[in-house]
Amino acid sequence: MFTPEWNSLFFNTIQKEIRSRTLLVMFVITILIMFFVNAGLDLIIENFEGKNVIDLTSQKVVVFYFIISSWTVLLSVLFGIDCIKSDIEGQVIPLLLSGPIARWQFLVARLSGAFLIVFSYYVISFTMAIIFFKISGNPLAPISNMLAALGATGVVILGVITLAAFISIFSNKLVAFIISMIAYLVMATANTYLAGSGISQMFQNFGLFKGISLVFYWLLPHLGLWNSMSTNLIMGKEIELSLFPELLHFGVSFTLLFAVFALAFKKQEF
Amino acid sequence: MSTILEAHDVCKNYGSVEALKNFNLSVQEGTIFALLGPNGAGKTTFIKSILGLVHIQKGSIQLFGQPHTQREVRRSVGHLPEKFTFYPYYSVRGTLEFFCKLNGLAKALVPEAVLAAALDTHIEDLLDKKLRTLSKGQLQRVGLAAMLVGDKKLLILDEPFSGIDPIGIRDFKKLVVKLRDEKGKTIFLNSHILSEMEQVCDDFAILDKGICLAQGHLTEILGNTSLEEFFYHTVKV
Repeated sequence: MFTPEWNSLFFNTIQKEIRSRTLLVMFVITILIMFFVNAGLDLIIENFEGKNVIDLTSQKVVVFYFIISSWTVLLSVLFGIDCIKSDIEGQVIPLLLSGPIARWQFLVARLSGAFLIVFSYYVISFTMAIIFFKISGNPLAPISNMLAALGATGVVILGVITLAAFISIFSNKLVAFIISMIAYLVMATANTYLAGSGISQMFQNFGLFKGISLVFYWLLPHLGLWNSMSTNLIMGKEIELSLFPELLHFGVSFTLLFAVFALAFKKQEF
Repeated sequence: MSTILEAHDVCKNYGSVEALKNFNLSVQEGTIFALLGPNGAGKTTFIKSILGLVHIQKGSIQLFGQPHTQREVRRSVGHLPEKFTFYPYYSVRGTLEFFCKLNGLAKALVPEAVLAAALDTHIEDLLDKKLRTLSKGQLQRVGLAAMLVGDKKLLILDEPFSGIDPIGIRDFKKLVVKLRDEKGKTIFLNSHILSEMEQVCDDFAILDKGICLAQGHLTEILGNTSLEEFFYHTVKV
């Protein structure tokens, strides 16, 4: 699996983003987002806190984390689409696939590279958020919660990257971006709608919407739930989900998603 | 001389279009083989079939006596597409280093392999230039160098002369002959520029509408006729 050929493709995934300056641009945008969100929230708190409009100080962590998390999902979609589509559009893929590497290995190398990039961004944003809160004296969740939140978001990043990359092999980048974002939102909605429901409740009032939700809920990773779990951990809340069944579901549904992706990619001609 | 590439009854359809119809071919080790044919004859489809980039519906392709789908045999096959394309923001050195690693070369051997390939293809002065600054001819040389870094036994070149100036073509031909004579490489060329092919190839096949019309040793088949005349007669009649 981790042959020198695989390693070269894995590092090339990161290197091509560095050399095209995409990483630098994204890094600058990330820093700017962090700065403006922090400054914007402080401004709102300063102006409205005393007037008892809303208790924003206690909500600052949530708002901040919501923005980091949304930016991470967006980056996952962008890098997921780009990691394979750029090879296809740039006509580089015949050179890479005619070498001694299996197509599924190529996919694993590209997806792992994209995962490492987005996860690194997330860790940077997360660390910066902690620094901001520490400096401004805001309360922080225990370190164990923060580490668990990193893990939960890692699951979300991996799932979104794989889904976006899969969609990208059938369409152009813009269409793939729109479909990926819609798919993620439908998945998140289905997760919220059906989470915690028993089997009998799931089939009550069965209709088209519920049918679609159930398909998304059972066959695809519960990315919405993992994302909420991550937010709850940061807020220091108790986790209501049963972790083991959720991990098992993620393992099975992610393997299924990757298997379908690998099969579709194997059938493609370049 | 052993057979390096062998195709048996290969069929490939794109929808209702038959790109290859029971195509048979064999290429001997240490030769320059030219696959000739008019535009749309199925030449590039055959190359893509060898490399596993398209899937054949029927028949078999053997590389070094093994099915072409086996990954390990592809380690010995180099491929230069009609238009060599790589990430434009990569330097020539960076590109060659990547292909060294992709071919499983040990890290310590990479600088030496890059320099050797650059010298062979006369691109040593271009090593630090970005690909986006190179001309088509220079890019093709980089592609050829990228193909040479992994000690390949069979080099597959798809329309190598297209878009290259006469000096570039001449250098390219010299290099191809040198690779056969000095390094014992087997070279599979695909082209419709007959005059150039006639000067370098040992064996050839003519492909038209997916069917192999003729195949054999150049001097034995042609006799006193020119390749152009033979080709015209075979394809037209």
